[in-house]
Amino acid sequence: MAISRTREDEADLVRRCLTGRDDAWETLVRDYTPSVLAAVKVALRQRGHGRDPALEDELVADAFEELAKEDSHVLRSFRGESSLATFLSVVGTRRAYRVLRDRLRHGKAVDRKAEHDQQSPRQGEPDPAEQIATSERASIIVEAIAELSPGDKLLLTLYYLDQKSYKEIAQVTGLAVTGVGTKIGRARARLRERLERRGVAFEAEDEDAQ
Amino acid sequence: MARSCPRDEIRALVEGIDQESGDAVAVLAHVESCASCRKFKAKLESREKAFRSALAAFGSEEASSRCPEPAEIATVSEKGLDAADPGLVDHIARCGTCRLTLVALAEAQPVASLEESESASLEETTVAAVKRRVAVARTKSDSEGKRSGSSGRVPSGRRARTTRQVALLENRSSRFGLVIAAAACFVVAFVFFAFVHDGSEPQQEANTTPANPNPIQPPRQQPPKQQPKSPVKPTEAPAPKPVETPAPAPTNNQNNDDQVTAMNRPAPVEEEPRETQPEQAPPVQQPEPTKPDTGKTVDQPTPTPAPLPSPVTPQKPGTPPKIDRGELASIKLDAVTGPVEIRKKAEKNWRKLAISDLIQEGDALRAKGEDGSVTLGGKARVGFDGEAVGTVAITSTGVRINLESGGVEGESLAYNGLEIADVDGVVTAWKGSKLRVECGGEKGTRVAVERGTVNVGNDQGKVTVHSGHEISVAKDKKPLRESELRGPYRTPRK
Repeated sequence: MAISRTREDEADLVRRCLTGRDDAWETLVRDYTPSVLAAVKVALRQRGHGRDPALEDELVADAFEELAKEDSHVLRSFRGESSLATFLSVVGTRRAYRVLRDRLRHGKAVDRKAEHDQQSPRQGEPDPAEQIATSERASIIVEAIAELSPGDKLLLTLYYLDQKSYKEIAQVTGLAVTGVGTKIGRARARLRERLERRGVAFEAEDEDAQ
Repeated sequence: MARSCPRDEIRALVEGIDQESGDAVAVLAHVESCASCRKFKAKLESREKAFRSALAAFGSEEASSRCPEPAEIATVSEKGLDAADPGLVDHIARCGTCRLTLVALAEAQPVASLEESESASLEETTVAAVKRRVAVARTKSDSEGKRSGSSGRVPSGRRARTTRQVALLENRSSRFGLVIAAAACFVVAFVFFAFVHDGSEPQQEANTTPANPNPIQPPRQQPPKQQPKSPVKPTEAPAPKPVETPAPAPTNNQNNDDQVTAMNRPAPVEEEPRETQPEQAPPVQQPEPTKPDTGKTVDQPTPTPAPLPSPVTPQKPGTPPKIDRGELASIKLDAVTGPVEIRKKAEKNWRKLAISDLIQEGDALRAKGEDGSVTLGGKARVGFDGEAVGTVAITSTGVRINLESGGVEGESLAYNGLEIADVDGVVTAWKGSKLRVECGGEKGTRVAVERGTVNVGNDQGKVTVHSGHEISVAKDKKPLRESELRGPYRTPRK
C-alpha cells in the first residue's frame, strides 16, 4: 500500500490519534499495517525464522497495541523527523526482536537445565592463568574498540559481528558501497595502532621476517 | 620468509577485507607452500579470533532502557548517520538490537513496495486483528485513567469504553447494531419525556441522571453535578445544567445507554475544538457555581476551594461559558528537530518536546545542549541554539518568542508570522524572511538577516533591516541604521 502523506498530514494524524479519535486510529491501522508487516517479516527472517503468517500478524498487532496502550506514550514520542511508516516499522521490528529474544531465552534456559542435569565432571578446561591472560587481553581490545570513532565502531560491528555485506552496510550507513571496504580497512588500521600503543601486538609479530 | 611473501594480502584475507576471489586463491596457494606464511596466518587467525570475541563483547548489548526512542532510530534510518548525534551512533554500534533494526528497515523498504502486490485478503486479516488489539488496548488505557495532563493530551472527558462498546465499534457497520441503537435511543427518549410531562421532579431527575456530555459541546464546558450522596458516580460523566445546555432531551439522555453512546461518539465536529483547549482541568474540578445542598442561588458564586492552573476562568453562573483567550492561545507543532524541551506555563520541570504537544501561551522552549528547532503551526520555524531559552506568546498573525537567553534562528512562514522579543526590543519578521537574533546581555541584541526583511524596534524607534545586513539594538537606545553583514552570520561560542 502506497502511503502518500505529507509530514504535516502525518503529524496531524498522530495528533488526532492522541486525542482519541477513532477514525484516526482506524486510518493509522489501515494505512500503516503493510509497512509494519514488511518490517516484521524482515526482522523474523534476520533471526532465521521462516514464514509464519500467524506470528507475523501477532507481532504487527503487538506493535500497534504498544502504540495504543499506556496513554499512547510510544506514539507520543513521534516527532515528525522521519516518516510515520518508518517510525512504526521501528516499533514493529523492536517488538519482533523482543518476542524472539524472550523465546530464545526460554529455550536456552530449558537447554541449560538439561545440560546441567547431564553434566559430567569438568574435563579439559584451560589453564586458569591462561584464562586470566585471555580475559585481560580481551578487555584491552574492548577498550581500544571503545576509543574508536562511533562511525568506525559501527562499521566494525556491522561487518564482523553482524556479518553484513558491504551493500547492507551501505544501506544502513548511507555510505557508497565501494567505500565500505576501504573504511573498514582504515578502522582496523586505527584499531591496530591503538592496540600497539597499549602494548598489545594485534598483528602477528614478524619475528622471522627480514 | 621470502621478501615476496604477500603479508598484506594474507592479513586482508584473514580480516576478510576486500578479498578478490582470484587473489585469495593465489594467496592461499602461497601460504600452503610457505611455512613462514602458514605460521603468520595462524597467528593472525588467533588474534582475529580474539578481536572478534572482544567485538562481540563490545557490540552485543541488548535492547535496554538506554536504547533511543523509535523516532530517533527512524530518523537515522531515513537521513543516514551524518544527521545523527555521535552519541546515538555510538549506542547503535554497541547495541545489537538497534543495529539490526536499522538493517531491517533498510531491507524492509523495498519489501514494503512488494507488499502492494500481495493478496488483499491477507492484509485484511492482519488489519482486522490489529484493529481488535488496538481497540482493547485503548479501552484498557482509558479505563486505567492514565491520561497524562502534561503532554498536551486533551482530557476528552469521555468515559472508558466497555467491552460492549468496543464490540459495537468493531461492528459499527452492522445494520443490526444500528437498529438496536435506534430502538434504545427511542426508548430512552420516551422515558425521559414521560418524566418531563409527568411534572414530578423533572429538574432533579435530569440532574441525577448520569448523562454524558452533549456531543455537540465539549464536555469541559459543562459544569459538573456534585452530589456526593447520590448513588451516581460523580466522575463518570457530568450532568449538563439545563440552563447551559439547552439540548433536546433525547440527546442528553442517549448516554444512558452504552450502545447509543458508542454509535454516536465518532462525531468529528464535537472533538475538533478540544484540540485547541488542552491541559484543562477535568470537569469535576471546575468551579461549582451553585451548591444545591446549601440553597445558594446561582448569583452567588462560591469561591473555588482549590484553584487550578486551568486557564478557564470561572464563568458567571447562568451564562454560557466564555472561552478564555488562554484556551485559544495554543499552536500545533509541525515538526521538532533536535533536543528541544518544553516547560509548560504552570510547571517547573522541563521535558522533551513531542510532536503531539500543543504549545500554549507562556510555555517556554529551549534546546538542551545542542541546537534544535520547531515549526509552529505553519507560522514560523524557530531554531534554538543549544541552551537558548524562549517563552512563546501567540499573536494574531503567528508566534512571538520572548527570548530569555542565547540565540535563535527564525524563519517566518506567514505574514508577520514570527516576532522575536527580548529586553532590548522586538523583531518582526516579514513572511519568507530568515533571521538570527542573539541576546548579547549588556551589549544589546544582535539581529542578522539572511533573507527577506525584518523590522527591529523598541520604545525609542524602529528600523528596517534587509537581507545581508545586521543591526544591534540596546534597551533605551534608538536603534542604529543597519550595516552590512561582514562577520559570521552566527557568532561563535566562546
